[in-house]
Amino acid sequence: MVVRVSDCNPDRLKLLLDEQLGDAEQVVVAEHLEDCDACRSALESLAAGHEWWDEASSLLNADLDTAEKWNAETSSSIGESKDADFIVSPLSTVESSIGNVPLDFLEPSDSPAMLGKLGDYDIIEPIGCGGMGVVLKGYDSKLNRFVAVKVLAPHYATSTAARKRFAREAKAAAAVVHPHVLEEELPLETETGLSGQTETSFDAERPTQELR
Amino acid sequence: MQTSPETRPSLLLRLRNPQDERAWREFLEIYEPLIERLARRRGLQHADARELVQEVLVAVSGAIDRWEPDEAKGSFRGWLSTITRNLTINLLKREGRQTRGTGDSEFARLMSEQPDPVGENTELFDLEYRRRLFQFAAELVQEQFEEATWQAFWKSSVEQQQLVDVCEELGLSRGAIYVARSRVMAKLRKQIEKLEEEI
Repeated sequence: MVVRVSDCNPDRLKLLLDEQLGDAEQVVVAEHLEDCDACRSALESLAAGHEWWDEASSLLNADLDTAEKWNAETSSSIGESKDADFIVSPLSTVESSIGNVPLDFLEPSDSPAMLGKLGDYDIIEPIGCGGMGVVLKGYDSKLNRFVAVKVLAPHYATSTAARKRFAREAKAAAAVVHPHVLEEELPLETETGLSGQTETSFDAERPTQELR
Repeated sequence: MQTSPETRPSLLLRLRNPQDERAWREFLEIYEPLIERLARRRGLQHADARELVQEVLVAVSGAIDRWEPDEAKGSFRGWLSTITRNLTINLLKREGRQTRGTGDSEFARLMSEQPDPVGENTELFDLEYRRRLFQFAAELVQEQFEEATWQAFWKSSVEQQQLVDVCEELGLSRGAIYVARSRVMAKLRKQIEKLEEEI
């Protein structure tokens, strides 16, 4: 309970919290609070019980922007999430090549956060590479979703048999994964006309678990 | 501990009217980030979490007519909590069947982490609901204060920085910080209590 000594005035504290005190009066209260722990704790209790203060800290701390952060992720997301709850994490840093496959077939993207652009997709990062090509993590801004774009390796691009196998593999992959996580985009390799470069070795250590 | 009142029927009744876009906006303001966060906490990736949100909202719009605001049947939030959980598991199962990799283990992890699905699920949902209420109320309340007043509250009460540091950074006296953070806290509490009644 607040002890009623000359300057202690619970009614004034209540008025303060009801936004009924002018600036000058607030200054008077502020000065008093510096010396009067009883009034300070009365004011804080009047504002909200201690469980509210505790919750404000535990629920709001470092978390107010979570929703906005997620929204931002859909549009520009490469950034590593600070929130341990999140699974999204870049598989590797942005590189100009993956394994021995140069990524010079990418066109410049409008967004500096992106590795480049391929067809309609902003390419975020390489996911991995397999026997026949590389797989890139892309973002489809029209449909607001991530896609995996598989690109046939240059030295296969001219082989009809390889193209057929690539198509089969692509269909199989498209059938076994969740449509929003991964989608094969076949026409890309023909559109971009990869050719000329002969690369024979792939870095087998790169993770491809997102695919299968 | 957190004895928040049941969701007042008014908003839920208003949701039954497809023309009432405002009711849906209010509903989404609170529940969309909440559902998405729950999904993320349970291991769904962003795109899947977004899909889950859509599925839950479709389920809500489809079932809102049938849902009776009857305490015996549990609160709306309890109902929503169950729907969200079931759809999350469906989504993980779907992946589990279709992928050879992480899907199965992800599903197994989810199941093993929730030996008491109802209790734990409700607890998590309530926690995230509460968090969302605080976040939304904070957004609304922040606009009503001067930046320095808000920062005095945020730095000293939310981030729990040392008072001397906050004083120095904001150029305010200790007393001014006490005044500022209590004013903000009072308004935040009232805002949350109001939201609890409405939503």
